Amino acid sequence: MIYGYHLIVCLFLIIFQTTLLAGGGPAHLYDLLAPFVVYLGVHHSPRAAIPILVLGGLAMDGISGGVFGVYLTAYLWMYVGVRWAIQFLQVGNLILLPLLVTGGVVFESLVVAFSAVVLASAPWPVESMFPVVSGQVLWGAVTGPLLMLFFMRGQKAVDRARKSLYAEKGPLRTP
Amino acid sequence: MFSKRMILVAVVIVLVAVNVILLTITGKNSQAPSGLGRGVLVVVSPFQKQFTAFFHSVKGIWNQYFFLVSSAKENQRLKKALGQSLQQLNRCSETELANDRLRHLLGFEEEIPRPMIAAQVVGKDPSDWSKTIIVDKGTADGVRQGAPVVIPEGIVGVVVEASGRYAKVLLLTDPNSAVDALVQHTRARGIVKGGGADYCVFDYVLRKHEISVGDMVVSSGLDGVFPKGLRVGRISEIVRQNAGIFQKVSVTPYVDFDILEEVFVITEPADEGLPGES
Repeated sequence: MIYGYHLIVCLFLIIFQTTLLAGGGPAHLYDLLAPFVVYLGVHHSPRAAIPILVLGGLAMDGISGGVFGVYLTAYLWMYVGVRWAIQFLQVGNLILLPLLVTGGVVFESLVVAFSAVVLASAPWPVESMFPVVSGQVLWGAVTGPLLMLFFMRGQKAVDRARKSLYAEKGPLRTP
Repeated sequence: MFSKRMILVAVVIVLVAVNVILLTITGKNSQAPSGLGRGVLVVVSPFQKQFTAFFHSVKGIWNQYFFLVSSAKENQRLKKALGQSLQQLNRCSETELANDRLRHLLGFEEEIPRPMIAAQVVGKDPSDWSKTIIVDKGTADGVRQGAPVVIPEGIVGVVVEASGRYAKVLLLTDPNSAVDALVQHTRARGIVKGGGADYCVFDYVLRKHEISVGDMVVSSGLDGVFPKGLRVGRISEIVRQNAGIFQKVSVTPYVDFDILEEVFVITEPADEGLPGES
């Protein structure tokens, strides 16, 4: 059930940001999957998170015209970084969680910008990095933690639904 | 001899290096490794198409209905009637706009002597670092990789990936795009390349050519991709440096890439025949 929830959220975020936001959203908006990856890193084991990260990364790389594999790379390393960071950080802390999300957005923005400026066959000018990355980080710092809260609320709702489903099925199973 | 921590650090460094090398290799192509990009188009694009259609209908209702209905609060009956009329009006005006656009496209279609197919834009690249769109026509409709994409206002881009029903189009403003072009007025030749933002760079224009701001740039047809004479943009800035044999020229495309809804894909390759050959 949790796989289904993650898959739906992942697909929704990809479609939302490639249709609605790309058609009339703010300039320099960050990748909405960045807070989702941080959420996966904080709350889910590699077994639950890696398949979603791989699918999400491949989907974003397939849709985007940038360097193929850059989103997959960013998501996987971001996940590894978050898993490492939560060994030392108190993630329930109201200040640290937004910081972690902002850090994720900064990391992903820099990785994608690096790929466009350094690795692409027709590289972008380096001076174009600053306005794009700073705009994305600003948006990420403001809205990223809110998105993360939505994901956590959604997970709680899914958990409740699963428990009630098992509770209903439970008596039927007992002889 | 080596601590566990050192081995871990070494493994991470090796992984990062391998990762960067792989990205460098894929970065040399504007196309995803075989099958992966097309697979993604097959899975994600139908959802994008439905979402875009839903978004357009909601936008239409919002623009045409709610704002106007709120001004007729006094009379509930009239409000209801007005609402219904506005809904009808919305449908009519949407149809009228679509009709105008399609007539415009039809007139344009007759100007280009190569077969074209109309396609709807269903998705756009979310990243600031690459300029691509997804259209709802693919190999099943005759769209192939490398096919030029145009609208009456000018050149849109080129197809870089095509699945059965959908295709990815690299826009003219992406740094990976290039069109062999010439200034219509003076016939000065060069290559129009994407500048990344909403402009293009007109490279390799010799200093000896007299060109001015506002001149129209059209495709030369020599790249074998775009037919000759298609509008590319107008010259917006010229910098003649003291040294060098070329001028630094910026071009503003005629196409407004932010409001693209329908495009034409030219489905047949350029005629490679020699002049005079029947």
